[in-house]
Amino acid sequence: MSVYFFGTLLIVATIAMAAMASISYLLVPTGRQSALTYGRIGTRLTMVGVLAVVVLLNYLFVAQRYDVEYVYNYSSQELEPYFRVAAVWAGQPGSFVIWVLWGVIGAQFLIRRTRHAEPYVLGIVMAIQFGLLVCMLVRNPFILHITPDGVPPTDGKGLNPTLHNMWMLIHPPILFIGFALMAIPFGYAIAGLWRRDYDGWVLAALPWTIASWAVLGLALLLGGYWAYETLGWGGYWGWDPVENSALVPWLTVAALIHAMLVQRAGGAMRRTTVVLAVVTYVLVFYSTFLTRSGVLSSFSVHSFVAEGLKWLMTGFLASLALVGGGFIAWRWRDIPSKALSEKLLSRDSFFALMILVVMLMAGVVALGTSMPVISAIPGVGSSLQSFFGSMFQLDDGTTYDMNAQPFEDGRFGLVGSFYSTTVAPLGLIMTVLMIFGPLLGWRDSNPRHLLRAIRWPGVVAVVVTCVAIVLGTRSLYAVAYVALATFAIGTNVLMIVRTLKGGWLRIGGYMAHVGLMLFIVGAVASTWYATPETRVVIPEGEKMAIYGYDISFNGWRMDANGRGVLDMTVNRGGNESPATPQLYFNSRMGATMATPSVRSEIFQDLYISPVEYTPAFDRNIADLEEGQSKKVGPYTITFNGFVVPTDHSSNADISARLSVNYEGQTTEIVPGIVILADEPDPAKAIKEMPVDLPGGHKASLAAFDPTQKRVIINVSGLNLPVEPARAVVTVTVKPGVVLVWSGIIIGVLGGLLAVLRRALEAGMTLGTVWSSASLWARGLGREDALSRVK
Amino acid sequence: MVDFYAVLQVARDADQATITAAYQRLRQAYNPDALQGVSEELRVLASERALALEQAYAILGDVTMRAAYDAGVTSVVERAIPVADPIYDYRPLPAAQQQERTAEFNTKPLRSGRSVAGDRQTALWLTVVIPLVIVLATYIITDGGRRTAPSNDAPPVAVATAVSDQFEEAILTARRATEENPTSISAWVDYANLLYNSVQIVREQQPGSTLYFNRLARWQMAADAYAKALSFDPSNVVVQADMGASRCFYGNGIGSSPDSAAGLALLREALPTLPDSEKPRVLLNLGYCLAEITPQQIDAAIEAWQQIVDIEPSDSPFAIQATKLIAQLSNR
Repeated sequence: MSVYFFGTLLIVATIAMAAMASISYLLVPTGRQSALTYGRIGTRLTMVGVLAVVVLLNYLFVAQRYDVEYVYNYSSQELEPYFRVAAVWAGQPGSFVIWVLWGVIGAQFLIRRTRHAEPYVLGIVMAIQFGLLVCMLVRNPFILHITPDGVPPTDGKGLNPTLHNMWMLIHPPILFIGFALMAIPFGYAIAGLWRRDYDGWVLAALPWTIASWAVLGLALLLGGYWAYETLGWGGYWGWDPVENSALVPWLTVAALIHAMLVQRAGGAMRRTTVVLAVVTYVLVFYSTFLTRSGVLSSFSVHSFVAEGLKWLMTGFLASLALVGGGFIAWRWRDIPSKALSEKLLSRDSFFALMILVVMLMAGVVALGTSMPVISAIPGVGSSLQSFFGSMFQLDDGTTYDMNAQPFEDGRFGLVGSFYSTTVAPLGLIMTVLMIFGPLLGWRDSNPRHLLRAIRWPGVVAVVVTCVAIVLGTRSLYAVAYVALATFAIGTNVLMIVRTLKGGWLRIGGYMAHVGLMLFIVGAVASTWYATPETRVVIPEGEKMAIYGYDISFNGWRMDANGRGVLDMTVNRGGNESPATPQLYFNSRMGATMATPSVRSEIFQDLYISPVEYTPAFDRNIADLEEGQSKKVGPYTITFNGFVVPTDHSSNADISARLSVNYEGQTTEIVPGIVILADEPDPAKAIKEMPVDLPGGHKASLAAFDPTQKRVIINVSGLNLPVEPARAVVTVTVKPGVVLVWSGIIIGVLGGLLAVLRRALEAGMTLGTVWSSASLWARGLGREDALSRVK
Repeated sequence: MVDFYAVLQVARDADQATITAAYQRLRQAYNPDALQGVSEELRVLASERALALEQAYAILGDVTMRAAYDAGVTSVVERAIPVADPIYDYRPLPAAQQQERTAEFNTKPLRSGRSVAGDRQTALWLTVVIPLVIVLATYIITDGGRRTAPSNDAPPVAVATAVSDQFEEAILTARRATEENPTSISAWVDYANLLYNSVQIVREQQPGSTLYFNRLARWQMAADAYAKALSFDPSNVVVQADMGASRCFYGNGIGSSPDSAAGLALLREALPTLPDSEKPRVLLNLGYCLAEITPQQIDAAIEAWQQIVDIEPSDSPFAIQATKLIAQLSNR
C-alpha cells in the first residue's frame, strides 16, 4: 500500500468521523438522545485520525521521503531535524492539518463540559472541522512526486529561506490556535440561538472568546516581530493583506468580548453578541479565503498562488454566513431585548461606543484589504479607482513586484496611506473611550467621583505630553496620541490598583488596556519620532558616525549557515556590539535576500538594513574572459585563450596567451603557473611564473577558471590604488520599539488572566491546580463594587 | 448558588448529625423507585428533587466543603457537587417571545428515564457501513493509490505526468479505425488528435530534444488526417484550427516557411468563428506558432496570449500559462 493511499485513507476516515460526530450531534436537539453517544465517539475518533495524519506527515518529513510531493517541495537533506517538523506547516495542506489539529483538540474539551449546549456547540464545531478536513483532502499532502524518468528524487527543494528561522517554528502554530479557538464562540452563539438560551451561552463562551483574542494577539505580535527582525520589511506592521486579515477578526473579537460583558452585566446587547460572534467567525474564514485562494496574489508581499481551493473556500464561506445569518434571522424576533443605560457616563454607553468604533475600524481595514476583490467586479473598479485615487496612494499590482504588469481592468489595492489616514482618528477616539470607560459604573456614575479619579492620571499625562513636545512635535496626531494614551494608562493603572483589593484575577481587562496603550505609545514613538532612514556608505575597515553611533564595516563574509553577511561593529559610548545584516543572493527564490540587523536598547532600536555590497576593486589586476580586453595602468591586456598543455611553447602547466598593448606597441606574452606535485603544503604547491612587460613591470597569472575560460592577471610594480569593498546600508533609530512588544505582551497576559477568571466563573473544571488560585482570589463572583467610582 | 440548607430543610447553624438525619428522611420521601404508578411528570420532579438532595448533602455533609460553602467560595464548592449522571434535556427551550425570562425559569432542564446509549442495531450498522464507505471513497479518490501529483501549474494541453510513449498504442488502434471506416469524420479526428498529442507532449516536456525531431513528421501526419476530416465537414473550424496549428508547428520545426505561413493562415481564419470554449487553446497555439515562426513575430504572439488573459478568469490554467509565456517572451 503506497503512502499516498494510506495517507488519503487516514484523511478520508477522519472526514467520515467528523461527519458522523457532527451529524449525530445535530440530531440530538430534535430529541434523538441516543445519537449523543455517536457524536462523542466521532469527536474522539476525529482527534485520533488527525493525530495519525500529523504523525504520518511528520514521519515522512523526518524519514526524508522525497517521493512525496509535499516533502519534496518543503524539505531537503540539509534541513535541521526540528525544521523538518516545522516544515509540516510550511505549505498550504500542512497549515490546514495544524489548524484542524488544534480545532479537534479544543473540541475534546467541549465534550460533556458544555452540558446542555453540548450537541449544539460540538455539532457546529465538528462541522467546521469537517470543512477544513475537506480542504486538506483537496490539497492532499500525501500526493506522490513523480519524476519523468520514474526514479524518486533523493533530495528535496528545501525550505524557503525566509521561513528558515526560529519564528517559523512558533508563529504559525500559535496563529492557528487562535483561529481554531474562534470556532468555539461561533458554535456557542449558534447554540444559544438554537436552544433559545440567549444568556447562558455568553457565560460559557466568554473564556474561549477571550482566549482566542489573547492567542491571536500573541500571533500578531510574533508575526510583527518576525517581520521586524528578519524579513526586513522596515517595520513590524506594513498593512499587508495577510497582516490585515488577521487583524480584522482580532478587532471584532475585542468588540465581541465587550458586548458579552455588557450582556453578562445587565442583559442588554443580546442581539449584538450573536451578530458579532457570527461576523467574527465569518471574517476568520474570509481572511483565509483572501490569503489562500490567490485573489490577492498581486497585492501582497506574501506571494500567494492560486492553490485550487477558490470555489471550495467560497462555498465554505457562503455556508458559514448562511448558517450564521439564518439562525440569527430565525430567532431574531424571539430574543428578549433590554435597554442599555441611558446615561452617557456609564459603562453601558462607553462599551457601546467602543464596539462601534472598533467595528468601524475593522470595517475600514476589511474594506481596504478587500479592495482588489471589490474592484475586480466589472464596472466597479474604475469608478472606485478614481474615488480612492483622489485621496490615497493606490497599488496597481506593481507595489510588491516591480516586474509585474500593472492591472488595466480597474483592479487596484490600497497601501499604507489609506490605513494610516483612516485608522488613526478612530484609534484616537478609542483611546479617549479607554480613558473614561473603565472608571464608570455599569448603569451610571457620579461625575464628581469621576473627576477625582482622573486627577493623577491627568497630571501624569500632561507631564508626559510636555516631554513629548520638548522632544519635538512631529505631528499633532503624535502629540494627541501620546497625551491620551498616557492618560488612559494612568486611569487603567488606577483601576488595577483599586481592583487588586478585590482579587488579582480581576485585573485582566485593565491590564489588556494598559498593554494596548503602551503599544500605541510605542507605535507613535517608533514611527513619528524615528529618525529618517539614512543611506550610509561604509568602506571596509572604516567607521561612520551617525545618530550617535559609530558603525564600522569589517567586510563581507559567510556566516555559519552559509549566508552572506555584512560584518559590522556598532559602538555607542563605548558599548560595542556586532551587527551582521544579511545580504546574499538566494537562487531558490531568484532574489537577493536582505535581512536587517537590529540593536535593541531600552529606549531605542538601531535598525540597520542592508542595501548593497560592492566588492573591493584592485586596479592592479584584470579579470578577463576569453577575447576580452581591459586596461591596467598603461597596459591594455587581451586574453586570447589558454595554452593547450600538449603544445610545448611553455614549460608551465597552465598558461594564458595574452596580447599586451603598451604605447601603441602590441606584444604577445604567456604568463603561467607550475604545479609542484611533490609539495605537501597546498599553498606553496602553485608557483607563479611572471613575465616581463614592456614598461618594466611584471604580469602574472593570479587565478584561472578553465570551465568559464576566465583568468585574473596581476600586474606588479605599478602599485595602483586599491579601492576597498563598501557596504551600503540604511540606518534608522526607532525609539520606543520595546514598548510595542512589551505592550502586546502585557495585553496578552491580561487576556490570559481574564480567561482564567471567566473560566472559573463559568464553572469550568480546570483541575485541582486552580482551586488554590480561586481560594486566594476570594473576591470572585461578588458584586463588582470595588471596580466602580460610585 | 442554591441554598443547600433550604434544600435539606435545616437551619444554617444545624450540627452535622441533624443534617445527616434530615438528608436520610427526605431521601426516603423522594425515592423515585417508590413512586410506581404515578404520573411521568411527578416522577421527573421527584428525581430532580432526589438529585438536589444528593448535591446538598455532598456539600453540607462534608465539614470542609460546608465551610467553603459558608465562606462563599463558589468555584470550589461547585466542583464538589456530584453530577449524578444527570440526563439533560437537550431540546431547545420554549420560546421567549421577547419576554425577559423569570428567575425561576429553568435553563437546564433534566429528563426522566435512563440515559440511552446508542442502540445495538445502529452501532452495528455504522461499524459496517462507515469503514466500507471510507475505503471505497479512498479507492476512488486515489484511483487505487496510483494517481500522481496533479501539478498545479501544469500547462493546459499537456499531461504533465505522462510518459511520451503513452499514445503509441492508441495511435495504432486509431489508424486501424480510419482504415475500417475511411469516411468517418470522428475516426479521422481521433487519429489526428492522438498524433497531435503524441508530439505535443514531447514539445511541452523536451523541446529541442532528439525525440522531438524524430517526431516532427507527426505534425505533418496530423495535419493530413485533419485535412481528411475537414474534407467531409469543411465547416468544422475546430478541426481547421488544429490542422493549422499542426502545419505551423511542422513548418517551424523543419524550417519550412510556406508550411508555417499556411498553418498560420488557417489558424487566423478559424479563430473568429470558434466556439468560446476552444478559443483559449487555439490562441495558445497561435501564440506558439507566431513565437517560433521565421521571422519571429513576438509582438503578435504576446498579443494572442494577452487575449487569453483578457477572456479567461485569471486563475484558469490557460490564463496562468499565457501569463507565464508572456513574461518569458518579454524577458527575452
